[in-house]
Amino acid sequence: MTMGPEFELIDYIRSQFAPDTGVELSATTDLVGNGILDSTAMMQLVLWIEETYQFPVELEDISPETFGTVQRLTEYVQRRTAGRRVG
Amino acid sequence: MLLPDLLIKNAKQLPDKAAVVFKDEKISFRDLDKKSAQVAARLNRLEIGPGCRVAIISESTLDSVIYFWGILKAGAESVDIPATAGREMISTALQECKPFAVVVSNQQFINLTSQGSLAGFPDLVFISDKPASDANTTSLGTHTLADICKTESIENKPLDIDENAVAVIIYTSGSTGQPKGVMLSHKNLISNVVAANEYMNLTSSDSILVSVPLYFIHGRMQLITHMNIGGTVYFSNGFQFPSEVLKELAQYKVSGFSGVPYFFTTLLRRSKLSSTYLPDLKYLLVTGGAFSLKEQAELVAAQPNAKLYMAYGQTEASPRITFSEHSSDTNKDGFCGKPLPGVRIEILDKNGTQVPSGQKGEIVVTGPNVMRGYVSGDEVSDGIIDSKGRLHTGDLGFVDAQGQLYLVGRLSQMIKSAGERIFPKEIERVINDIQGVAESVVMGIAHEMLGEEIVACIVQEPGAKQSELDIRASCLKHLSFVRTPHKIKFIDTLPRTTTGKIDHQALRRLFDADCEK
Repeated sequence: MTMGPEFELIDYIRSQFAPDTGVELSATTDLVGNGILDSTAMMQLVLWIEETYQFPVELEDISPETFGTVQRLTEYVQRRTAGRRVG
Repeated sequence: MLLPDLLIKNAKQLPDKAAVVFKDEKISFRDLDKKSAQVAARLNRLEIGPGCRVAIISESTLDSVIYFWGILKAGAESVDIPATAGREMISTALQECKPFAVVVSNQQFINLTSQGSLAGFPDLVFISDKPASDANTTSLGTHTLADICKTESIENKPLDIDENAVAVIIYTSGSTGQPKGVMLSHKNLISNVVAANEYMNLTSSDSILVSVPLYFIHGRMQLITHMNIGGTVYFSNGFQFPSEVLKELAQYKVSGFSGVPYFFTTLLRRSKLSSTYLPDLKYLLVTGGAFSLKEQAELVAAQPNAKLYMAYGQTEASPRITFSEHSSDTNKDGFCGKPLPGVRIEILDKNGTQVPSGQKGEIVVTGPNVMRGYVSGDEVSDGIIDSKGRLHTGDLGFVDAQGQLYLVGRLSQMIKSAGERIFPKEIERVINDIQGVAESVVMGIAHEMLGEEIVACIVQEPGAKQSELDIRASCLKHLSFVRTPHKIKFIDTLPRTTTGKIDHQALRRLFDADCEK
């Protein structure tokens, strides 16, 4: 079964940054406000997205509007990879 | 002079000026003086005063800043415990320092107490952010600033303590794996900010953007530095979004920004620092780890109008030991500059004998900035403070003929990752407790962004099949992200030298091979 970016992102963020921490992780969870992503975790996530989805994350895209929730990240990844197969 | 005197002076001279600014709220020196006096009055009424401790386990909030000054005005000792430390680490620190009260945010209060009572957690609780509901305010033993400010007196009471009294205790990583509570007196901290300002010449027209948490000495010192000069401290929303930090620098028109090397590397690589004109920015201060010559040059090129300062120090030295300004003369590997006024550096060989200039050895420090000791009281038996009262830094360096210090390495196993001080044992203890792990070795290996990256080599018990993800998940339950090993190697046995010691060089080569792939 092919997973979409939302499932992959949740899976990666949960396993890398928030396993069993008691914080519910859904597509709309505030990743920074809930303490899931600190500054170094954010940079690891940026690098992982670049490597996994094969596009450079632009400087201005590392913002709450893009990286604030998995939902926003999913939309961003889909936008940046539109026209090619992802996942 | 005591630390609260700095606030009282500013409240008289600059009453309406903003002392502290957060995104959605700010406070003037006058109001900070009044509200902190009210906190002190409440603490005194609860019989908390000189010789008593109050722990702050909170992210930076306006109320946590008011509580900090209130604790000092009560004559008590403010204990900083990282809010990001796991429950066990927080509990260990609380049980050791035995605070009479604790300052926590609502969420932290819930996190720490929802899984049953936490050993060492005191009954008296002060909430450091605005309560989501009245639920906490009515609990027995729980206090809020709103309530304190309704009922307590705004008069400052004279303090019956001297400048050598402990003002601040900062919990930091210790070589044994247990957190160490570093006790710093009023004199330690004031002497250090005054001495550093002889280099920086900051005045009340200066201001700073603070991105580091207050529970690190770096953040706490910026608060005290700007209280000394009457400058405004602006708090960043955090360093998760480098471009947002850049916007804050521009929006607040601050004259200064300080951070660990990781912050500046991130700003250089992941924000438009070099193409952003910041006319008000007078200086950048890098502290908390090595910053390469290449990155120094990049930073100067990115913001040519700002001076670049670098400070070398450690929490036990309140924290600054040397200070330097970037220039073509100082553009040498490991250069740290001269000791601060009043601070003396000696370089000792393995036998504890002072070596001549140019020769390498351990850096030891004497001066008014050297800590009062550890809460655990083992600074002498651990060899951190020697019989002459000198602080042994665990760092290796040499002093040139002009008395300027150069860092060349470490005697201790301390790791600096993203500016955080980490000792391997702290992480090895967590890994060794994981089911199926026989033994482990944690090290720091060079990393472009983080300075050093945490890696672990693990020997599993026969039949155990923990994966790298399993180990990381177990670590994340107890450790912050930066302390969780980023790379893990499973090996059959730990390589040892002919003398039976663990062969760290051989273990490092396992990760070197990775980098070459």
